[in-house]
Amino acid sequence: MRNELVQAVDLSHRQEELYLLLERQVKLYTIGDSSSLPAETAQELLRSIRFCIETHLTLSGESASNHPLAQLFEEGQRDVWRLIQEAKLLYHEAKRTNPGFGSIAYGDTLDAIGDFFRFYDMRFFAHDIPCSIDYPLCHPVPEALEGVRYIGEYLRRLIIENRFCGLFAQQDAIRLLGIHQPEYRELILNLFEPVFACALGLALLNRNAASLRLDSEGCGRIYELFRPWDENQTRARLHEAVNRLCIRFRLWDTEMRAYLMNAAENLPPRLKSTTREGYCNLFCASQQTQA
Amino acid sequence: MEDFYGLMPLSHGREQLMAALQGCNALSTRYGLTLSRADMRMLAEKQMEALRSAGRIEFGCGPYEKLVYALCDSPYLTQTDYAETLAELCVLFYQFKSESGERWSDDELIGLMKWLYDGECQGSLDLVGDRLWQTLHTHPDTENFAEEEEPFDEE
Repeated sequence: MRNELVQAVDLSHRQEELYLLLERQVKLYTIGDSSSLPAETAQELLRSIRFCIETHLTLSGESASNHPLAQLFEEGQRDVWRLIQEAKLLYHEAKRTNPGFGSIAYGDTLDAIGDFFRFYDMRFFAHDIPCSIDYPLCHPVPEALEGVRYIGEYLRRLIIENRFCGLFAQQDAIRLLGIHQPEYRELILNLFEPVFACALGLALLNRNAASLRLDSEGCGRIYELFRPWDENQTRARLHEAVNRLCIRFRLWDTEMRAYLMNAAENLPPRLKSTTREGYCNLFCASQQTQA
Repeated sequence: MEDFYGLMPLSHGREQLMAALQGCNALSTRYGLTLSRADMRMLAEKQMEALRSAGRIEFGCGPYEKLVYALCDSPYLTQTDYAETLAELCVLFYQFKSESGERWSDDELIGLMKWLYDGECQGSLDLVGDRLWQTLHTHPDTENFAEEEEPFDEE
């Protein structure tokens, strides 16, 4: 994951330079019509300047102290432009890999990201996210990420989830989601998690993960597998199961593997405290025992 | 919210404003209007207060210079109330800028203020204020009003 992208840059000792940049942006923003602005607007313009500078410093690995802020800002604006182009490609990929489970929140969010590219103002409000992202990811994008960097990271994660969900037959995944939450289409729910949990459960039992069919007897066996509770052993078993999934589905790229490992890392606290019945909900088991 | 008033080099802005007001004297003296150093300091303070009260940040010198150029030939402006009038108009200027949702440019607003001050308000600042607020309420789409009335052509 690109958590290293979240990095604040301290510009507190370069206030005058920052002010001159802001002054320049204000002139451009008002087209010279007004020499004053509401404080909120000026605040947003300043955040945008900071965002561009931080984006450049983070992507280039340079230090702010070696360069004039005006130069870093211009470089940052170029970086933001490149990130927009990259995000547009990611957006098309996200639409292409949409698993088509019929979630309203998912569809609305994809539409909203399309609007993002129409309304995003990289010149003055590069830090802004002018759209509403409703669909939750299994691993939410850090809120410290702003603007196109947030959208790019969101899409990157969404594509990973899409690709994973796309490994299974659509009707199997839809059946599974229906077991997990009959009204999943109307609810704001992440769809990757139940699919992943079920596949992981099957991998834990050395069963065919592609089937997405796990029964309550199987869940009971998983429950027994983790009893008596041992945190380290649980994690080791989960990692082993993720590896099994990666081999089964030929998932060799590191981003996907890391994402699945992280998703598995979320499970131990829930596995520890959940009852035997709770395991059925967690791994999305059907109530009937398989013949 | 970031403390803009801390970010802004205030002393620098104040010096600029004092220099601009000093420059205004060169023109206004011809009409019998002069600002003393004390007036200038008072105007600078008033501008700062007006900005804070209207929740705005000034990135130039503010409206005084343009107000002086627009109003120095007004028959209603006298040396006695010259500085106070500028200060009051400055307060109205920033309030109206914010209340109108940024739809008036600086030049348009100063043109409107001069038109009201020299016209139907006959030098009454209270009336100028009232008429400005009426403009906001009776003409919510102030851009159209500006096009219809065309009161801003500077002579």
